[in-house]
Order: sequence, then C-alpha cells, then structure tokens
Amino acid sequence: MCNVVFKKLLLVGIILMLTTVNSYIFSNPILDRNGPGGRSITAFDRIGQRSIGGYFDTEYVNVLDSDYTSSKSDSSSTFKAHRFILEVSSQVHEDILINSEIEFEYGGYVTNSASGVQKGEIKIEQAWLDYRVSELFVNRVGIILVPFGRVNVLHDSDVREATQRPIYSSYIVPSTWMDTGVGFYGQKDIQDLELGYELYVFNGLADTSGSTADDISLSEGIRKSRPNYKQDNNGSKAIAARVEVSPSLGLNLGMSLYSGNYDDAGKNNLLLTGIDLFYKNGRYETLLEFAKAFIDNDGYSSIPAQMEGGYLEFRSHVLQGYLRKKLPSLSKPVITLFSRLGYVNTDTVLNNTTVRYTLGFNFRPTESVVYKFEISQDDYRQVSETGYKTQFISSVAVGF
Amino acid sequence: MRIRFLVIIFLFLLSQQSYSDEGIYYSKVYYSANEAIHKIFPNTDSFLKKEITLDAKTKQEIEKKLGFFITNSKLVFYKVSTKDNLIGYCLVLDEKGKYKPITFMTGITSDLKVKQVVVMVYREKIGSEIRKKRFLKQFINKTKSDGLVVDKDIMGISGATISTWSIASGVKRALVIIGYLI
Repeated sequence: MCNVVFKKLLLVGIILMLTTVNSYIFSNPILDRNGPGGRSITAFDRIGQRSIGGYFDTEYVNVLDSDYTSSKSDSSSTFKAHRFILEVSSQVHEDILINSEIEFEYGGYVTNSASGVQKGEIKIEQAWLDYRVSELFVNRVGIILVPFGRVNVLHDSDVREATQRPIYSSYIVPSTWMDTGVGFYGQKDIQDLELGYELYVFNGLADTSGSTADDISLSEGIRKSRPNYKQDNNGSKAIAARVEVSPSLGLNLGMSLYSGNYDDAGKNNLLLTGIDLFYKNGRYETLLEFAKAFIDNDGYSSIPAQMEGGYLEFRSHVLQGYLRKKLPSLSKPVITLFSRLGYVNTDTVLNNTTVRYTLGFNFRPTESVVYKFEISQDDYRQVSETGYKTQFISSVAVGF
Repeated sequence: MRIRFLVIIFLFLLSQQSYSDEGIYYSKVYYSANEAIHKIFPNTDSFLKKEITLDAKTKQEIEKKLGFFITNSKLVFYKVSTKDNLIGYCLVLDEKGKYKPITFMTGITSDLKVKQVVVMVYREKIGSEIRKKRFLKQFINKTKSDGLVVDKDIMGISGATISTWSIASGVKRALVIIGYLI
C-alpha cells in the first residue's frame, strides 16, 4: 500500500517538476548554447514563430491501352505513394523568414538495389532565408525554386487541379527545378496594376563530361541536368529572372528567362525563354505556358540545339452553390472540370514530339483537400518511338 | 485516476505554454476603427459607437434572410454623421479566413449601399491580396439584394479562395444586419 502511495507521490512530484522546468524554459529563453537545454539541442531555445506543414498525395494509375513500335511495355495498374512533403518555417524576425520543403518521394525508400536503381527519394526542394528590406526588395538565399513559369513554383499537389503535371514540366522546365543561389524578388502596385519580379544567380544546370547521369538529351530533355547542391561543375553562374504583370484582377502575364553555361568547360550556354498567362473570368480559368530552349552544343553533337514545349489548360468550377447547400458542414466545397493540351519537342530539328491530352475533374471538400480523376493520352511522334498510351489516373492530395 | 487527471492538467499546461506566442508576427494591423471610418467617410466629423448583442430571435430572423449562420452575436457598429446629418454606418466583423479571423469594416451609406470595405487586421501568411483596392472595389454600391457570390458577381482571387469567400459573405452579413437593425 505504502509503495503504491509512494509511487503516486513520486509521479506527482515529477510532473510538478517538469511543469516548473517548462515554465522556466518558456519564461527564460535560452540564448546561450551552454545554457539549460543542452549544448547540442539548440532548437528549443530559438526565438521565432515556427510552423510545420506540408502536403501529401497518393495516386492510382491504370494503363487502359497502349501501343508502341518499340518493345516497351507498361505495368497495367498500380498505386503510387508519390509524395510526402514536410515544410518547416520560422519567422525569426518581422522581416526575416526561413522556410524549407523536404520531400519524401515513393516512401523515401533510398536503399540502393543491386542494380543501383533508387526506388525512392529524399531531398530538400527548398531551404531559403528571406530578408525583407521592403515590399520591392526581398533578399532570398539558399536552395530556391527556379522562378520559371507557373507550375515550377506552384507545384504543390493540393494546389494543382490535375494529378499529372504538364508534360513540358518533365522535359523543358524540369519541375521541380531548384538550385542553390542568391537573389531578390519584390512587388509593386500602381493603382490596379500589380508588378512583380524575381532575379537570382544560381550554380546552374550541369551536364558533366564522362557522366551520363546528367545528360541533356533527346530522350530526357533538360530534366537530368538539374544541378546538385554541392558544387558548380564549371564555376560559371547562371541567371534566372521572371517578370509578372497583373493589369487587372484575374489576369496575370509572365515572362521568364534562364541563361547559364552547362558544360564543365563553361563554354556552352543554355538559354531558356518562356511566357505564361493566367486568366480568370468568374468560374472559368485559362492557363497557358510555353518555353523554348536554345542550346549551344559545340563538341556535344548528341545534345539537341533547340527544344520547346507548352500547354493550354481550361478549368471550370461548377456546382458551388449546390454543394454549399447540400454539404453545409464543409468549407466551400467545389468541383472543378479541367482539360489540357500539352506537348514537348525535345529536338526541333529532328522533330521529337510527344503530345499529351488530359481530361478530368476533381472534388474539393475544402480548399486544401482534393480528390482528382483524369484520363490522359500520350501520343508519341518521336524519332525512335511512335504509338500512344492511355491512362486513368486518380489521386488524393492534401495540404496540411 | 487522480494521477491521470494530473497528467491531463500537466499536458494542458504544457500545450498552453508552448503555443502562447502564436500569431505575434503574422497579424498585421492595417487600420484602427477610427482610421477605417475616416477612410470610408473622409468628411465625417462625428461617429457614435454602438455595441449590441443579438437576441436569439433577432439572430434567427437575420440568419433566415441571409441563408447562412451568424457566428458572433456581439456586434460593434458606428453611426457616422456630418454636421448632425447621418451619412452612413460602419460595421466591424471578424470573418474566419482559412485558419484565422479577418477583421474588416464595411461602410454602408444611409440608403444602404456599400460605400467601401476596409480590411483592418489580416492574420494569415497568404491571401492578403484580399485587402487590396482592386478586389475590394467590387463591393462598392452593392446592396443586400445582391448575391455577393464569389465567381458570380464577385471575382475571386486564385490562391485566396477562402479569404475571398469570407469577405464576400461578411459584406453580405453586414448589409443584412444593418438593414435589419435600423
């Protein structure tokens, strides 16, 4: 009996002690790394408002029909644990923010198989520090999304209407495309006109001699040449810039530019130019993006001299009034219908083209949760492949 | 049993202290009530503040006219005058945005049309475009008979969907409440 009472008293004592320590910690922020809290565990004594969020998606893909001239075949039906993203940010001062985005792709399963093929991926997609001098000048440094077009920056699964990103985001503007660097962005309003810009210096795309892992090619576009975070392969810096103009509510026009030398010698340049448009009229939205790459290929005959790609997407938000009445417990439920026509040509001389048609809809019980359903067909008009693939794709995406 | 109770109390205390500093940076105060009234009615020389609590019956009747619920029965509104002539009303509302409330003032003329809408406090990291003039000017001259439905008679902002709905339904609420109270 005494033993039981003692244990209870001991537990109460520990609880009271922990409560006291907790009060002490929060009333006395630890600013000295040698102070209470530990020499190595410094996160607890940081000042600032922290947020943890992210997004998550799970996909189902079913190849309904396909036909190839090559011997390629598809697995007919599969679930994909595509992304689990953690975003951690902290406002360390009114004008200073640090933000990060850590991606676990396909379960983050990175144990190399015998063939050396990674089944999953863990990577940092963003890790930057913002220092706001004014609305017009915000300094950003770190791992930054390359500000090219709309999809690369607004790439979160719960923000996009369709499961598949536009095909040009795979080959021409290789989303998610990030790089290490420094620059500025800002915004200025003149009456109803909104102007915005982003300008960064990066290490730049890399096609390393002797390695095929990062080649710019007919089959992969410029996707594989996305840089690592450790070292610039040629010491020559790339510039990425974007200007966005919004003359009125619902209309945004953007122009993007990237220029950088990609080879080890730093002699061959890749210039990527792009335009984009977003137009919203009531419940109807139109989205257009187009990009063209001009690539110096002196000494690299396998690298195409020009590539291009783009897409046009229409959306309509329907049944908002009906859903609000029928599902009053939900916050602004909406169904969105969408269709998209996209293409890439990874060598405009040889005409290596793939066209993708997408038709689908999604249901959002609330803004950051979306159930997506779509049919897409890839039409291959390539140098080494002709044929098509028709897929049913469904997914759930949640921003949290 | 008591220990479990204490553990619960402890966890509660812990959580209270851990999150006591929430919201200090993201809240941005753009206008005080006084500043907002003078922005909406620049020629005003006096205003009378009134705090009212809607009784259950009144609340129910207003909700019936609105078609949706009123979350807060306590309201603050101002009767605005120039040289003893009533020129309008200003109602302050807190409408829930994506996560946190948006505090804004709806200025309504004496003939019950929206004069101007002013966002006073915005507390979220994204979506603050709703405080801009080019969005808010859509509400000018709207009356309680207007639907104020986003993407129908009010253009929504992509990326700030919930905030646009919050302002639209809040202005509608203000028009119906003022129309009922005067």
